[in-house]
Amino acid sequence: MLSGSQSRWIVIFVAACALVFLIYVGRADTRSPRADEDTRARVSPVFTPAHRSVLDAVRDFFNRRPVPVQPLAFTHKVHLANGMHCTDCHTAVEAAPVAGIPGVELCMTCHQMIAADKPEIKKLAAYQKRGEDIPWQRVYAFSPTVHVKFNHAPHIRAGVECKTCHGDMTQQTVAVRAVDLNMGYCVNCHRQKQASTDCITCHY
Amino acid sequence: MEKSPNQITEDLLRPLLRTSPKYYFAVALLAAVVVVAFAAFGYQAYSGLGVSGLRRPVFWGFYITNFVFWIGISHAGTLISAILRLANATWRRPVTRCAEVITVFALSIGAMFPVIHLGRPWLAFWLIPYPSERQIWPNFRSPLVWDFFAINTYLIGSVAFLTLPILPDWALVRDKASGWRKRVYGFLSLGWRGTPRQWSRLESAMHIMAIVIIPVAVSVHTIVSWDFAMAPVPMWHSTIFGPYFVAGAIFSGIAALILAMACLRKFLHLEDYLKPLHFDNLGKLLLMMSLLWFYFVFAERLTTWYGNEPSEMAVFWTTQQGAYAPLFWTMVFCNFLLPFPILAIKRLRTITGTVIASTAVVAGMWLERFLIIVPSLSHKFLPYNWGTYRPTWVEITIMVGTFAGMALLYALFAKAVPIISIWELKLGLHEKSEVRSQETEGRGKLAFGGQEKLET
Amino acid sequence: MQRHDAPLDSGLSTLAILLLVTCHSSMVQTMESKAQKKWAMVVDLDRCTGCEACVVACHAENNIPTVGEEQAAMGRAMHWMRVERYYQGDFPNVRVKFIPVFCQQCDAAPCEPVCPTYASYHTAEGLNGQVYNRCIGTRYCANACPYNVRFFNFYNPVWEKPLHLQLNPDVSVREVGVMEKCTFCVQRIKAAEITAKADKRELKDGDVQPACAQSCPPKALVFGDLNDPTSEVSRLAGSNRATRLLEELGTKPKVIYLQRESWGDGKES
Repeated sequence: MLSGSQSRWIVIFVAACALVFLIYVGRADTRSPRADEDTRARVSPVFTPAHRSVLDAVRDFFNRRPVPVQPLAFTHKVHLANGMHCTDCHTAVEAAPVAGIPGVELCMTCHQMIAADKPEIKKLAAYQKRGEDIPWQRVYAFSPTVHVKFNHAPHIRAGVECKTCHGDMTQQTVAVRAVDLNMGYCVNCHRQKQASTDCITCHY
Repeated sequence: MEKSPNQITEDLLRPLLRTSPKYYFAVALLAAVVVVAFAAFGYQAYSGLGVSGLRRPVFWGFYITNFVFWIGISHAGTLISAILRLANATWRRPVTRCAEVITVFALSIGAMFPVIHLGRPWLAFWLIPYPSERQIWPNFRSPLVWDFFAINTYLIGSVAFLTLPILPDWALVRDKASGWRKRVYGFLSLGWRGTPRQWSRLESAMHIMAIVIIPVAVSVHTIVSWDFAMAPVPMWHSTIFGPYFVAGAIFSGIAALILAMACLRKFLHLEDYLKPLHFDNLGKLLLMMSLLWFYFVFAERLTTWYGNEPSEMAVFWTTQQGAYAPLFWTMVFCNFLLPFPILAIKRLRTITGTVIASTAVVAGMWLERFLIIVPSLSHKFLPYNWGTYRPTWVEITIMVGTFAGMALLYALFAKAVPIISIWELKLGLHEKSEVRSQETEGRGKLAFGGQEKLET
Repeated sequence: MQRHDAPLDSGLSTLAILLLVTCHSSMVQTMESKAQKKWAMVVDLDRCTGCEACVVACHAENNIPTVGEEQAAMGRAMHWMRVERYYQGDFPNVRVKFIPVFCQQCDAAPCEPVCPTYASYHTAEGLNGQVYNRCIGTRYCANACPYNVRFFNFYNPVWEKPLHLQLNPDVSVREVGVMEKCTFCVQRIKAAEITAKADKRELKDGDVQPACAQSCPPKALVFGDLNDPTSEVSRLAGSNRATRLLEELGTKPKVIYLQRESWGDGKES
């Protein structure tokens, strides 16, 4: 028979194990997912919606996603402070499902001259020189398992401000997930604005 | 022949206080099978339901068969025990607890199958109506949601129904045992001291539970049958299904109870408690249910045949003469042709006889569940889509695992709880001795286990 | 005891049934009253040659996986649209009848009430919605569907690279364990609605074309709004050849089949 103190230690041990597991699962994943995907892509001869591992599936289940690491320390704050608008770079937002991320050419139209000597801009120039696009990471992508077909254009036309979903970009350098775009957030706004809350408005 | 109260206590507490190596071996073996079954389920969850034999159009197969089968088995206990309690049948006393245990375990096992058969079992919690920011609820029109509520209600009810009369026995173990057993059973017996107040409370609680549990039990299997009857599938969409399933459930339940009692009698040496009389009485009940079952099958088949509806006739003929006919006629043999003579002839209604009949009935009722589900699905309305079904090793492993799991749980339970209600037996002895002293003629025949309780 | 129990019991069950019925009917009513569109398809069996171009188009449009030889032989092939073949007569006077079968988008769909999670549900426009992320894979809907038009992902689908580059970005790639079926190309309906709204106009007949109808060489498939009396489907639905598949089951399908004129009377044409 276990004594009282023994059983107490067992309980503590089990709880600690569970805690460590949860932290491990929930820990913000700082690997660059892109690099990982690249190697996978080269290795795997097939495309599949399957999760890459059980752990990956568990993370997805608890809605834990890796924090994107951007290739350049782009700063929204400076650009917006200098009088630029969201649509100057995210040009497709009024007409298309995705807002669009500008190509390196668009950046260089200004940065040919402006701040050309800064180290980050030099990296930018190097991308252009190599003829590569900048491997930006998605910040607000939905997990494929939630099957959301989001379309920016109708939201912009309905007068939803960018910051409703993306936070105050004038305070962000590289974009961070400032708003948790879970289903409750979407549905709340849809109800308030009397937009459709039919499932297949978004999920199909 | 008569046992003294002390002897009863001694006999029935023996399994709790002493354990043979054979027991450990059996438990280890059963546990190993259960672990393999869980591994098979893990493999299925990891790879997808493709590893099962399910396919279009037979989207439900072994898993749902086992689901209905186990839920059916679960009707053995609580329902029979409740009816016998309300009817004051004194011979029930050694039987009730082993029956109620079957209910709790078979129900838990049966309830696992709807989760096992899900394409995405990790999302099964969506059947629970919990408020979330998404403002979505389960679909209360779906029979599967009714199932969820019905099974949980029945499970809670039958756990209470099982546990209440265990309290005095646990208290008895507490008083007899020492060391850790004393502490554990002391905790379990919830401070039972056997005061008159506690006894009267227990009695009224049991009475209420016995009355409440009967409609719950009937509704559970009715709702299970509605999983099928609510869908416009040939031979599923039938008004007879509710009572048909309930009758089948009680039928297979009694058979399972007889088998469990025979095992207990043999392995725990309870020959003096589970007597031929109990098998004889339960055998009569089984006989009645066999006739009722045959009546339902006959009624279902005859009306279908006369109705001559093309889509239903496709299913009808495939079970009577086609691919599923061997299974169908085996079922009729197991459920009626074999048990009927065994149970109807008094000379054959022995322990061995009832065990043979019960084994056949359990197998036959499993086939019945299978034959309700698969032939209908494989022969729906558009003949272009007719198909077949064959289970894979994953489904078979999981199914075997549940049988092992049932045996394992039963073995563990018999180790933790006196499988025959000690205090009820003693109460029986007590009542009888009172009767004896009143009766001057000495109706010797009215030994323990007489058919009826005397009016007092 | 029984005397007290029986009325209580029956009373409760009556109450429960009443509740269910009112819930159901009120839901149906709100949905019907809100409906502006009633999408429907007409299939002219006289025109159908059984070429299966619609099947191919549907696969391409809707990211429908191919499951491979072995799985297909088991009966796990997925075709949201299929052409059923039935043979009539004895050799040599055999005739083959083609019936393209896909989700009938029933108004009284048996698949909807049975789904425990509302993954299968009726949309405001009368479509049978299938919400993949809400699907837990009970496959109850597929059993309840009399047309066998629902398909289950028994495994995660796989595309050999670079075939995955042809996947339609407007349509989800479904994963293991979820049900799927013809959606009437809802992605095209949604896209057309958004475009029309941006142009500040109503949808007009022909704005929406599902992939199958678009690719049908003899134009046997016509898609449109039944609530618009001027639409092509409304006109064809009024034909005296119009029937519905398994109409006797009361599912109120929104796919209308125009019977072959030369067939019903058994005469050789």
